[in-house]
Amino acid sequence: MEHGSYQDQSKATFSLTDEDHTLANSLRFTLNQDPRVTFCGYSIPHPSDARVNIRVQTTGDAAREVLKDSCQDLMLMCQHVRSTFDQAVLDFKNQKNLEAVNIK
Amino acid sequence: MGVDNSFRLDDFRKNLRVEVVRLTEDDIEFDLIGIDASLANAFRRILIAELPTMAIEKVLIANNTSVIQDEVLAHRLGLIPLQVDPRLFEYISENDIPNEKNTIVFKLHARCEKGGPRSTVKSDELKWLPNGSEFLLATENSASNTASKQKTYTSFSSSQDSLPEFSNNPIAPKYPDIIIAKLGPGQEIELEAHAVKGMGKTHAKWSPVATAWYRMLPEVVLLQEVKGVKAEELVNKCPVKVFDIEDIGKGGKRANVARPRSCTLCRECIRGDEWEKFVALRRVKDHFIFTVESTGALPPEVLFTEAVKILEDKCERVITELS
Repeated sequence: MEHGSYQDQSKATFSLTDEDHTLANSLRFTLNQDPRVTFCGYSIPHPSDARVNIRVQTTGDAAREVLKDSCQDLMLMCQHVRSTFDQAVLDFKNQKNLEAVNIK
Repeated sequence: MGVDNSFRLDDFRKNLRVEVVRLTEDDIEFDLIGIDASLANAFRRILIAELPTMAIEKVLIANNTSVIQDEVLAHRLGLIPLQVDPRLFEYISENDIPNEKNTIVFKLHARCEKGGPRSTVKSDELKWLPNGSEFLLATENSASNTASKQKTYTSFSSSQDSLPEFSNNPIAPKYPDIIIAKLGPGQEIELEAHAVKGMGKTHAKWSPVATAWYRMLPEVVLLQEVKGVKAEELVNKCPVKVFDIEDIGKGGKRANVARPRSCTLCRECIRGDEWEKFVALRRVKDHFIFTVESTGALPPEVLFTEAVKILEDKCERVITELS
């Protein structure tokens, strides 16, 4: 749900349901990395409701597009973390196997 | 503007390092270097609360003459970790019929002989029923002998052990020696337990990790040179031996930081007069030492990979909502 102005697309508050600090803080971090963003923050109106408000203000681009790009960036970062982690686990297991063979 | 974003991603890709320190069947300790605290915390939160698992939810009690109350027994059964991959099952919601894709049925029938000694009911007495529930639904129909098949509490159209994953390894609790109840002579427990898929958010029994935590790498910095007697004093002060002595010619001694990773930040090294001018204790802001202890449903390295996948799915959901 986007709360903004039809005239000025560069500022908006996005209200996400069924979300909490897990996604909101990570999105806030990637939004801050974007040079088009002048202001970004999130708040949780009430801890019993699973709802998060993310405020984005940009230098002119539509806030919706900037948020979408940040989500894409976060996805790419996650994919990179996953592949690096899988590779590290594989390397560790191979190294253990080599050590076991050498001991024998 | 896309150029700026890709520069940041490239920086992230260059700086991110993962080093596995320890990997056993049940736990993993690894370092995530070059990542921000918000992402590390997101992974920790997902590991604890949003990774699905199978756990016993409904308990149909036919007979319970033990001293353990029905609800206490059902609560204990729910907390037993099951060794089954939750990715093979689907979620069940309120009005769904329990079938072989969303429910696992266990049976427990324990009896303590009258005149015999007291007995203990352990988790290995939970027997898996691959064909579904055996308790019959009470039917109003008096002409029920014309019906060919009696209706039970679940409707399995095929047996679960026809699936290749389960044909050779039956579904069972991960640990066979968990005490469920204790029976005195003449007491009996007969029940059926249905396990379903859920997340730690709803109830902690569905959390796949015993726990998962991270700490940031401590940074111990010597602000000034610590030589001679002071160096010896510093090395002896630290209870976990973070400092070491190195010789600098002509019998002189100097202290250096050898093992900052084992520092527990007890601050013993800055206790006393003026030690704060010599030693600074900080944390490295982007070096996270993760420890994940699995309860047995999935191996710990798979758990972390699934947690990252779940964060990706959340992003994707936001993108589709925005489009």
